[in-house]
Amino acid sequence: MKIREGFILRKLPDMNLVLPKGAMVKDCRKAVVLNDTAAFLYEQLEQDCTAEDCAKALMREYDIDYERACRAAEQTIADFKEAGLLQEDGL
Amino acid sequence: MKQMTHQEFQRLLWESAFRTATPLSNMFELTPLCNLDCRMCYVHLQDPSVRERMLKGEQWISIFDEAIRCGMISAILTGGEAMTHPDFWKLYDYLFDQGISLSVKTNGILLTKEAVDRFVQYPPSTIDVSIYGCDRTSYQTITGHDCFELVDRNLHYAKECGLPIRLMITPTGLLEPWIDSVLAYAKSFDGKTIVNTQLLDPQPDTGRDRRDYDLSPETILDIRRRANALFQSDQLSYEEEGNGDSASDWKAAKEGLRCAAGRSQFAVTWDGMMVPCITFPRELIACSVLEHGVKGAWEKIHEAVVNYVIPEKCNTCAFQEQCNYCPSSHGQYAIRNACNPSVCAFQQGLIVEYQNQKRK
Repeated sequence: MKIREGFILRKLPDMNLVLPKGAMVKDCRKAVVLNDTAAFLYEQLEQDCTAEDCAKALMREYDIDYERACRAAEQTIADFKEAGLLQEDGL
Repeated sequence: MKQMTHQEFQRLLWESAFRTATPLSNMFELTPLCNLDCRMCYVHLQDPSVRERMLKGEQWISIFDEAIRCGMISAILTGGEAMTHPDFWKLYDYLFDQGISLSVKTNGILLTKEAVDRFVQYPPSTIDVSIYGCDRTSYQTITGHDCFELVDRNLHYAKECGLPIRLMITPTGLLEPWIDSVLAYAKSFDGKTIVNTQLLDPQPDTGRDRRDYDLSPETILDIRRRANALFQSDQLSYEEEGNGDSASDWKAAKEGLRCAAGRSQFAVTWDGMMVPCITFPRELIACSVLEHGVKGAWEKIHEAVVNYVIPEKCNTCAFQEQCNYCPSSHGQYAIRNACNPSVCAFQQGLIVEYQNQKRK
């Protein structure tokens, strides 16, 4: 699974935003605000990866156990899907 | 996942930008040149060397990249006539591909079918079209060009295609005989109209003299009353009450200028000078982005705005709580750290009107 083409993550001093860009702007006129963990996972998902890859990345980055990392990754991926940020074949 | 309205999001964003001194929304004056010759234009330059001194497309792109690294998420392209810049579309497409929300200010001459079709494919958040009359005579008088029918045709096509057009009107002494007809013309488009009642001192070298087109504070207030009576409130706004100037922003500022300029936005002029806002007197605060880079120039501009000392007189003024001293409005007076009595009279009249409206 992977982030769809047409979105860009912008990290502001105290806010992370996902904005549509290029041709996507016509179809999607919304911004998504992410917390730091979600922004970290967004960056992982800019390359093709699985939910398990995301969980492992979270474990390394935040020094948390596997179970907790899986829960966080699954919830964030579900949110990304709901917001339309993931490619169709990732759904 | 929590959803929020556009309004809530904007508030969150601007408050964050204000708190962290992030230049969120910036204006780029691509050129001081124009295909019209308006007698009240404060920027219009005709010196042939301007063409050589204007920033080229690659220079603008490098400035945009730096601005994005500093936190920019929206931009306004202006002029002169922005669409006459030889690299206008290259710059527009570049920013669009970076996810920047774009607004364009134009006089509508180059809003051709081809341009409209392109904007439809890659839609800006707004296109502000300045209108200078309601018929051929008024346009000829104000702009020196017989172009009303062309602009009118372009506007109708753009509107039919669903572009987010806002019409902008700047009342001046030159436009006064037609002002009611111009307001009615704008209303006939059934969209948003912005009235700019803040006349500015023209820049040196433009050959313009404000006395040739100035309006008295009473006349400006009267025009606002007429505009308010004609339009529904959600269709009309005033340029000087723009984005980022929300009460929470400037009331939070204990020192310095109390506005978004230099706190969460900047402007870069056609020759690469950063100023807090595009109409800000360069003699007071300006810094070259070519010399200092965007980040370096922004730090200097922000510091100057935060430490700006407003005129002594403002500290004892009865309207100090409601008034927001604006060096752009006070123009040449601001350069002497003073208030233009005419601007004060207008602001005070406006504050009294707001208070009366609130009471009603």
